Amino acid sequence: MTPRAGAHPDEILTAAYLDGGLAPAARDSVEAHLASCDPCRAGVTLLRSGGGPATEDADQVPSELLVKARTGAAHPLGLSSRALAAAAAILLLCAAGVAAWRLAPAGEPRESSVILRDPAEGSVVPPAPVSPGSAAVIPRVGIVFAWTSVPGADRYIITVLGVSGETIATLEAAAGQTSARWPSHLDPPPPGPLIWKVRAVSLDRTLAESHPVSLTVR
Amino acid sequence: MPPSEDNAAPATWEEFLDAYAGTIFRLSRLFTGSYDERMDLFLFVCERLQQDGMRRLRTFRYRPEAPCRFSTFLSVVVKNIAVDFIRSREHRFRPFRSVASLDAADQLLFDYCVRDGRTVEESRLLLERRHGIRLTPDEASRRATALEVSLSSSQRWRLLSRLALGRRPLSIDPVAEVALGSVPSSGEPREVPLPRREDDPERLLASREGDRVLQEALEDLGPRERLALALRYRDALPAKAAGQVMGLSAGEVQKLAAQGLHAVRDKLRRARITRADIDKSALPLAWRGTEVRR
Repeated sequence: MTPRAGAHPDEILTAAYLDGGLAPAARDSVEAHLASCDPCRAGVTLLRSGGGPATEDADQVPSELLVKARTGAAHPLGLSSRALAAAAAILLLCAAGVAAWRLAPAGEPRESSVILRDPAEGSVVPPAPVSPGSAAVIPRVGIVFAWTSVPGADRYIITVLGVSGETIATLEAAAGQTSARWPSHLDPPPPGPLIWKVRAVSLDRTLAESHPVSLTVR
Repeated sequence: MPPSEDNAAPATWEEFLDAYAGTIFRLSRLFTGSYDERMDLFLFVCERLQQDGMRRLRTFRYRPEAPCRFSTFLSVVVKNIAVDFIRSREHRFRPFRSVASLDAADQLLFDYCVRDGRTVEESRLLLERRHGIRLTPDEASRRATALEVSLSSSQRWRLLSRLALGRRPLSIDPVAEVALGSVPSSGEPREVPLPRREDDPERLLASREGDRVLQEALEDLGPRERLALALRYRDALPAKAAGQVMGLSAGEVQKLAAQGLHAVRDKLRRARITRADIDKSALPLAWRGTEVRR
């Protein structure tokens, strides 16, 4: 679906533009609109400029604000200190946010949130590593990882670990891709044993994760 | 296809907030000018998102031709809700803090010209008649340009969101100057004059051959070149920031803008259009040729 030059792109299309996920024809139609629409262009400029890491204290949601958001801002509050303490605890959980779900065990998509739910949820077959296979011995340079596709995934994240569990590299592949080459801007991995695994991600949540595969780089 | 009521059951507002309250609060800073306003926007956004069983969030779905992350989708939704927020507080509009430190003439120019979207000439006359401050047209234009160029992305967005509410749009149009050679395209084109459209640009446009050629030349550009020109010259963004918007390097965006300018100049030259034939006020209209109202 591409917008006519005059129509504002919808929210999903705009988000796909921001994520760099559009094919050239769709991208051109969004850019044609942005060139002529001051408010849309100012909005995209602002969103692109303001990502930034969410690490500062100033970005913490004040607990009383979170309580209001939870209970509905329009409702009178009348909160007990206990409720506020609970809100503070929730705040801490929020801060952990993304990290928390990423630590969810492999193959266990979060059930909770339907808006973040993948269509195939409940019967997700994890991606299966194809190559390099278990116990393979491969050269350091030009490593290509391949796996089986997972319906509903919008990207795959490949993690390469050292034997003691440290992350050596993280690669990302778009939906539809089932292989990824070691990026040329990264140094090749050191010779020795390695572990790799692949995670299917949809709507910012892990759908399923493969079992880890060990290999040796020479 | 939106999820049915059935599988919507487990999703709760609390769960959504657990995951994304921090993201919304962080985004709220982009669209506001103070911490108080940011807190108000956060609650405004939450209220809207919660409405009708989170209807707005449920419009998200995976579209193969437009793959995006949920968090990116959320940022666009928050931006659009922030437009409503700005408009709902129209009566509470406060000048930006930086305006307070300007001299009296600049403060008034800011109000008439930047805040209310009047033409430079109209603002200049208001300054003279209401306030007894006399500026030459050149001086008024120079000051108005400096004011607009000094706006941050966030301030510019807020002004545009406010002005788009059935008001006269903000119009900065340095492209004519650059295209016609009065500003060297090789240098940093930040200090560009700021012609404004007159009250009936359509009539002017129809009556001027030069304007027509210029508008056509702009429309004939590829979308990438047009966008690069708009970001660099209309928004006065540095090449690096313009590149960030388009997902390109500073060099790549610079190259696109240069190609665009070259094509526009070339068309004007071939049509034997000279600078005097172009009514600068037509340029904003040329840019907005395809704009529609929300």
